[in-house]
Amino acid sequence: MSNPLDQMASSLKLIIPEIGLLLLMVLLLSVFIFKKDKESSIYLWISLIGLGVYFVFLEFHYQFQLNKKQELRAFSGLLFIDKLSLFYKQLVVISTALVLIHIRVFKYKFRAEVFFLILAIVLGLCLASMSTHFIFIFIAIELVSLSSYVLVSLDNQASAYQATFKYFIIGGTSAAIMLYALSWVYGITQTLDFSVFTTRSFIDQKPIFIFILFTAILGLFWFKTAAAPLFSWAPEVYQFGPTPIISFISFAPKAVSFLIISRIVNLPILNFNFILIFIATLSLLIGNIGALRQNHSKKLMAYSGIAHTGFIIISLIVFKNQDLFALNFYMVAYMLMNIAAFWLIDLLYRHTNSFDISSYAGLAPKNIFLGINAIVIMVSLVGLPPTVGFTAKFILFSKLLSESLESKASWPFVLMFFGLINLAISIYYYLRIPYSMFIRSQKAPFIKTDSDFRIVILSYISFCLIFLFFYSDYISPLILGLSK
Amino acid sequence: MLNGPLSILIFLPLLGAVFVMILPKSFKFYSPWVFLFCISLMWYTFLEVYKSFDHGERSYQLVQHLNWIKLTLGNTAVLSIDYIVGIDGISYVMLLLTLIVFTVGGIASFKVKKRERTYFSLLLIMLSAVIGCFVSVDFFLFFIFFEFMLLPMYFLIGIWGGPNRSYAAMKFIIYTLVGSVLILVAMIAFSVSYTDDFFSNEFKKLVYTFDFRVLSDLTNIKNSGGLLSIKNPVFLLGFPARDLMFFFLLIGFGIKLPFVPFHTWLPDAHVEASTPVSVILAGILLKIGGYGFIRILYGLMPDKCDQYAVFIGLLGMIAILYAGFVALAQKDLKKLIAYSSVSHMGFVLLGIAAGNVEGLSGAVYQMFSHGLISSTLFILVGVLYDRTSNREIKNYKGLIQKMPYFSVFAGFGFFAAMGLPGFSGFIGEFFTLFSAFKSDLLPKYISILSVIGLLIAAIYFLWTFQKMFFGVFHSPENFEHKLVDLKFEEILCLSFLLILTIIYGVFPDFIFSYLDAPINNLLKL
Repeated sequence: MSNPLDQMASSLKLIIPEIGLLLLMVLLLSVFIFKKDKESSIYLWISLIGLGVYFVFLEFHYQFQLNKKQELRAFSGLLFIDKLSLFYKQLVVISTALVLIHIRVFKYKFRAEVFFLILAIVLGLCLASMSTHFIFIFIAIELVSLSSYVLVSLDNQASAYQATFKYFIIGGTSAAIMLYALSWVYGITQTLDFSVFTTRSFIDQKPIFIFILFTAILGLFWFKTAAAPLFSWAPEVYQFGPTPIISFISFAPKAVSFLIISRIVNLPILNFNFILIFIATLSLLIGNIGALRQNHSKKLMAYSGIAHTGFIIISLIVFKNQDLFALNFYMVAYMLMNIAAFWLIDLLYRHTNSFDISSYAGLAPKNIFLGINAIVIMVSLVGLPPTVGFTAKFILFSKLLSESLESKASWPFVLMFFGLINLAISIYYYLRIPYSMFIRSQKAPFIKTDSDFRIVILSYISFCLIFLFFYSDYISPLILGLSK
Repeated sequence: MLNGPLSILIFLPLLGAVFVMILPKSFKFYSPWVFLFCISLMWYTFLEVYKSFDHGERSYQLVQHLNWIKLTLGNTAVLSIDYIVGIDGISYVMLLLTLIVFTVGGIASFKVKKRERTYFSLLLIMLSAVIGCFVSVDFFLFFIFFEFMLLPMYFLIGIWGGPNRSYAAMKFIIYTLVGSVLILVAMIAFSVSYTDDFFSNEFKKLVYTFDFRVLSDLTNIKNSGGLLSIKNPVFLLGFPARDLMFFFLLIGFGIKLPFVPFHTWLPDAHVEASTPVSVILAGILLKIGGYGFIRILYGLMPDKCDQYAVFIGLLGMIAILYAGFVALAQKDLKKLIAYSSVSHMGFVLLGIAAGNVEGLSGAVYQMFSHGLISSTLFILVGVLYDRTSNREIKNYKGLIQKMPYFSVFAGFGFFAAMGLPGFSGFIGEFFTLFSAFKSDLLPKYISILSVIGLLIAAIYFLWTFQKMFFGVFHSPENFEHKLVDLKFEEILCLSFLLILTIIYGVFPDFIFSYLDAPINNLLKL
């Protein structure tokens, strides 16, 4: 193994699935060149089948090796793979596949470059999830960011460009600040691989300086997760972007960003809890207050996403040992809820040709299954039983309280109380969609659509939301062995 | 698997709800009959419960225990959530009341001519959730059913309500949700500070449980680091955690009960809700607050209940007096009855505060009797509102000439609500007041001032009765032709309720005989 060439070869062998993903993108482009119909559904099928193969490949290739060794390293420490990164990769692939199905079922006419960009994002996220090297993560996340900027401005409208521009400016700025902070980190520690940081890495520095450095580094991820101070792009981008694309970028980049954040906050150099609590409370507050008066359903989802980010950040708070059970559970639940919510919003759009919540008035008596689905999904987003959204929040707060018991501090309790009061507030705006559908009387005629198949799939996801509440044991074994 | 009579009582209405929902459109007129069929099957099942009920048993009977969720929290602890249903005397009485009120509510709902299928399926879901609340022996299960009631009620008020219904429905759901969030906080605190020794040994991990039987035993508090520990209290924000959780539960259930100052959702909800929904709201939903007080607040924290008895007693007294005075000033008949409900539920608090056998049995009895009486009163208001769409007291005068049968029933209903001897209301109020006088925990002024509540109730009910029914018939809004006397189903509901009120008022032992053993168990006597 000492020979650098041998090392290179074995490292390359390790990332065969990702190379396959890259080849899939090349295949997509080559079909694009030779095919006349630029909006053909063949691109979608190529991406979907390719992702399926990638998923199976992931399972066999990595799972097999991870069963023998706890963690794999390649390219002299640049890549770091453990079961957690594999899990998040699978989460990304599953959510992408669901979004591709969304695009297919709703008959969106997307050109091939959309699928190319989606695959680029998947590749970026998969790479980012399997590294502990700041520069590698930075490049991977930038691949994601740049592709998302293009994706959300597909609609060729001035407003969409404006939103994208905001997205771009905030993203670019936070990336630049992160790079600047990274240069300091490299100067201090002579390495950018944060897995080798120890308590002694920053021993000569003042704590406040380390605090500022890491706040700056985390900025990029707060931006990606739409957490509180860096959220302002989300409402506009969500409002003007195409629904399935928003459904995609509102989950997958978030999930991987949280994985990376969880790795950073577990570093032994600083107690990150203060930052986490600050961002969590601010996100909860802004998300909930912002959503209260929204009439645009996608904007509502943007603020709801900010509030959910707040809840998820609570699960990252570290006491004695990091335990990501609550985070992982929340992620699985949130993936289903989020995709279902955007599916629902798109379906409502097909019936009313509007994203205005008041225009859904009186839809439920005409289409009772749509109404029931809306109730289930929104209740799950609030986090009430009997849905998996409740289980996720319940685990989160139980863990917070049970782990904080030894510290004898009151703030975890106050945080939990604050979060739960936010939950009570959030029912007001989440219920507005079912409220409009069930209680208000119809104003304008609805458009007839052949939406049976769409409702069947949506009902299936809603059913999963309820089913996983009663049988949450189906999720826990998946994520139990992940955290050390 | 789910074959005990209690599980049947929970899941039969759910089945019925699904059945009503999938009825074809041309059969939608049969949905009330499906509801009644469901109810009659449930009465039949209840008969089984009645037959096998053992009066002497102090703990739960007919217990069914199924493993449900084992959530691993971290690497050291397991959250054990089980499906445990069981029944004791208190829940038996509440179960009986549920069936009575829902039967009446179902018959009163025959008038609903708007989206019947949705209406009756929501009603059945409500029924299932309410019964689930009363029979669950697991805090988590209780909480799930407690939350599960929110949405059906929200839609029942929101879709079939009056002009300002959306405001009332939203107010209802936000108030109740804040309450249940407080209960959730307390529930999590309970679960992480009690441990189940038996299962802990089996799993080789700390097992946190929600089983009422474990939680009510104070020796099960985790020795080191238990949040709710009595011996070495943990301080949160400067308060002992156990006291803080006590107040969370108090406010959580107090919003539902409701007591002043958290009662403001109730008049709004009642005024906007349709008659049968009001009946269910006043007859059953408020009782879940009271049941929570007895089962959870008293059952799990008897030490704190004794410590804060004066506080609870004061809350009860304020509810009785304040709501009584507010009722005096009401112009809307339904609002008057809503405030009288708040006033009557104050007696429940008073009985709980007294903390003796008479007090707790009196509180349960008062809940039962108030369930019957408030249902009667709301149906009486509904009769008027159906005919004239108007509930202003001043618009009616001399109704006795126009609607003799209605007036007779109204007279009986008002007398029952005033607490006249011979009606069940008297027994409940008498026992709670008696216990408050007898109790060592409460100062005497609380009980003396509370007695004034009876007087106020007599004033507003008699005054209203006099204004509306006596004198020469006169209708400023020209209601002469609209005011026709009672229809068959109204007579059926009203006489059913009034006969029960009288039977239970004359033979209170029909209820008290069920309460002795469980309440002695609760008080550790």
